[in-house]
Amino acid sequence: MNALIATSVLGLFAMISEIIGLKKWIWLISTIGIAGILGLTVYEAIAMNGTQEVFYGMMRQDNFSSIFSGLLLFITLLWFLLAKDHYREGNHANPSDQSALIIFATVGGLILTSYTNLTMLFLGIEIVSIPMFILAGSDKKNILSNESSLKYFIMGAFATGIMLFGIALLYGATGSFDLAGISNGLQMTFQNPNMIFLVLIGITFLMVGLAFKVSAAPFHFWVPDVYEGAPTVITAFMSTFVKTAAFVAFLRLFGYGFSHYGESWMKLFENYPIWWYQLLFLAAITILVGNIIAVSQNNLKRTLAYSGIAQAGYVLLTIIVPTADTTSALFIYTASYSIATLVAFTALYHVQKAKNDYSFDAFRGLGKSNPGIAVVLTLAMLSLGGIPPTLGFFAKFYLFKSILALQPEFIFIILLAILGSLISLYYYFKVIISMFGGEETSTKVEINLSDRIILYAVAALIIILGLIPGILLELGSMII
Amino acid sequence: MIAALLILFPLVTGLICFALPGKRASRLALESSILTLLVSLYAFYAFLNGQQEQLEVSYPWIPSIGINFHVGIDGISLLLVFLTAFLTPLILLSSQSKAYSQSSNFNALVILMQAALIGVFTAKDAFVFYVFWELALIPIYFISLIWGGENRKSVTFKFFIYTTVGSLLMLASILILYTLTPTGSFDISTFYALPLPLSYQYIIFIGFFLAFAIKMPIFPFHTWQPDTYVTAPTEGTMLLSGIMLKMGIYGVIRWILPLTPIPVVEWGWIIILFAVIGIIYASIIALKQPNFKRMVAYVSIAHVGLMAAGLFACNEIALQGVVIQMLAHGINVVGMFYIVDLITRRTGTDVLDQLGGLRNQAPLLATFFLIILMANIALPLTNGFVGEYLLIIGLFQHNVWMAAIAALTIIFGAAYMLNGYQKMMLGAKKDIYNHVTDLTTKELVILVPITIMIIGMGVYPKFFLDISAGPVKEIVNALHQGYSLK
Repeated sequence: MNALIATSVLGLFAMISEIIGLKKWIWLISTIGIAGILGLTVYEAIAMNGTQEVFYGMMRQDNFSSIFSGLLLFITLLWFLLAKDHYREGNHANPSDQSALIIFATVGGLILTSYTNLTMLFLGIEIVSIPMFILAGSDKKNILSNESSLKYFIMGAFATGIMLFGIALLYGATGSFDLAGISNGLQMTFQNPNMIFLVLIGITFLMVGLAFKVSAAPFHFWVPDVYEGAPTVITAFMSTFVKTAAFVAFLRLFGYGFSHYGESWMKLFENYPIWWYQLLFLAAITILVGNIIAVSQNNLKRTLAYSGIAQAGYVLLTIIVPTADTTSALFIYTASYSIATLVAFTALYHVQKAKNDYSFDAFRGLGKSNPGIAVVLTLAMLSLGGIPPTLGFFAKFYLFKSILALQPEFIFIILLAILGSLISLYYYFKVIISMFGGEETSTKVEINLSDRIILYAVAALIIILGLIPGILLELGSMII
Repeated sequence: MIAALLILFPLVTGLICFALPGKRASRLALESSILTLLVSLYAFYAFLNGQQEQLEVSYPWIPSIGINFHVGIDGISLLLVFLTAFLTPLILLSSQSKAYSQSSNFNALVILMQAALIGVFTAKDAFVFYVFWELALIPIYFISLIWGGENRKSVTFKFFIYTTVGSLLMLASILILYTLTPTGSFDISTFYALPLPLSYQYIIFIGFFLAFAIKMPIFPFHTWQPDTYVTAPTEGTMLLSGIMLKMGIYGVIRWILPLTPIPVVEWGWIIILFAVIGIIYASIIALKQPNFKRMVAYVSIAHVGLMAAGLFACNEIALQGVVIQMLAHGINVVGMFYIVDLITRRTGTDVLDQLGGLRNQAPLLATFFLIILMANIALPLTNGFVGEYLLIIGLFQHNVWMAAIAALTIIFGAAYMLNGYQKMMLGAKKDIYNHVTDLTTKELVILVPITIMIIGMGVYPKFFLDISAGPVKEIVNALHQGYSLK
């Protein structure tokens, strides 16, 4: 858990760095700091034997938390690397505040990977969300950014309220906030149908709150506006880190909760399979809504927002049937989605900065003027669309495989998911077509050499990990 | 070893080509493709000497879920690998006489496409097969998108979506098969050994069949094909018609026939019916086409229809016919599209009515055109004859009426082909085409090997038939055995 403390300290340091005259170095400090903390997490994970209760049993360090903490820190690291240009002189007024907020959000993410107590779940969600509310509005003079922040805040507060209500109901029924305590409390509630009712409502409310955070339909209405209004780098962080963190929280409650606090949860699950249907419904409708609405968008930023919704639908499938295999699938899928989305948003950021436009027209002729960016963006799109040999393909393949292997009757939902990814090709290819299909040449987008190298290196990950996904599989198989 | 080499070598050179300047990239691409051809010839040597261990290789790729990079060459694969290796240098040569913008990317994509195609034809692991299957699509998509003709955006996109629909259904089938394997494996031999329950056979059949039927394409899944062939640059059309459509036919032979014998036998007649309808339908449309390139595209549908019908005739002769016809059709159709390209480049049009009398200006071109045309009509002593003859005999054993109707393709073929030839080559000399020159040496370098193959295969087809005889027999036996278990 030293990583958690170290990240908090780094965040505090980033906040005061402007006062002590380190404004220019803030990007470097944060990047190196996060890389160091990632190293620390890896070291701790290797050194750790067994699980370990920390903070008086509020959290618990285990393989699950180590691996997902690693993933979240890795995403933050990639984000910092790719956002280098954003931190350059003159591009942003308050770099240290922004850095600090991003790092605080990372702290929240780390809490979400290791909580064993619902109060920590709530705290984690809040710590992730509040920096995001601020950051969404960080482009102060842009009215869309202001709208984005306000919308996100109001909707987010509402969703958190519902989640809190759910936690309260669970507490009322079982007398505990602790996952183990709830599990014990459940034993008693089985005799009392009224109490069971409270538990089911409570869990449904929790699910609604988390579904909001992962942007699952029908709780997705905030996503396109917030994503579009927020500055592009922040959107990149929201759509990758925040979504992954929320999924980890989701999984820790539903997957990990079951497998570790065992029987009574299982019994509840078997006797009242209502969640199963709820999640199935959420997943199915998210895949459909995300993909279908994305088709009619005319700019890449909004398309990526809807693509994020659709992708959340696939990941939700893994939570329906939480096993070691599907947990591993969730890990690989979120990793793959985050890398590809970060790359896509970075390419979008550079194009948007050069042309002040992020519609598909801005990408016309990019294949000729900036073949490098065009190829990188194509790779990201292919990965999101699930075309071999990218990582996105393997992630999707493994996800489908793990679900089918468990429950062959799920073939219908898999077919729906396949239909969804087919539709998704339409909008992912829109940008590819406008980059390569036109005769027109566009003005060259100037990108600093170091930024370009970082971008290419991260994009290379998409292919490299796609060809040798063994590393990710290995990590994924250790989670549970 | 050879199989892996044949895939990895072009894959690497293809990637290198992206980084090189245009001239050097095209030279490297050509050299690489010639080297690949030599390696494929060595594969013949190894095959004929029974060095099977040299031809097959299996490395663990993602061992935790049972995926191995398992590739191997048997008789059927060998012919198709050879076809790919034989045609790629010709296609590259053909592209070099044109000034494509970004030519290094063009060459790189063609070479990558070659790697993926060889991968499809040699894969012995379903995952590997699927990866290469999709990988083959990406280069051809970009070739058509970047260097294509009018309307390319929508046409290529339709092609892409259409084929991906099939691919994803195939993926579902592969996943179902995987879940049925006891130890979790994607290996084809594990799939073959599975006792597939009847209901699963139907589902798996549908998934695979749609993927392959769209790729071939069989009527009524052919609607993407004519537009794509016409829009793509000539080299893209050659890749699509010469090699890529064989992926679909090969897929049926390798995956559908042995895996799902019951639906093959039970539903085969429906597919044959559609295939035969496709033959007649495409032939009639071909007769009416004013453009030569578009006509060849429809002719291709007709020829593929006959092969598709032969696939489901469920006997050895027909299947041998399919295999030999795949090879022959690949060579002939590439020759045909090359001729189209030569004529279009010289005269600026491929509208039949505007052309005429070209024989006077370009007698050599007319001669080669005639040879390739005869092969397309399936004149005896050309390669087209062997395949079509076997196919029709095989179909005849299966169903007399279908065979009778399908055999009309030869008459139709003569009609549209000779009509086209007559309008373009024969007739009075037209003065507007006086500037048309005859074949250059470079062009002869492409046409001569094609002609040699056409006549060589036509005169002595036994060499190729013997190579594919073993695996074809195995597949037909597996098919009948599987059906008899019902």
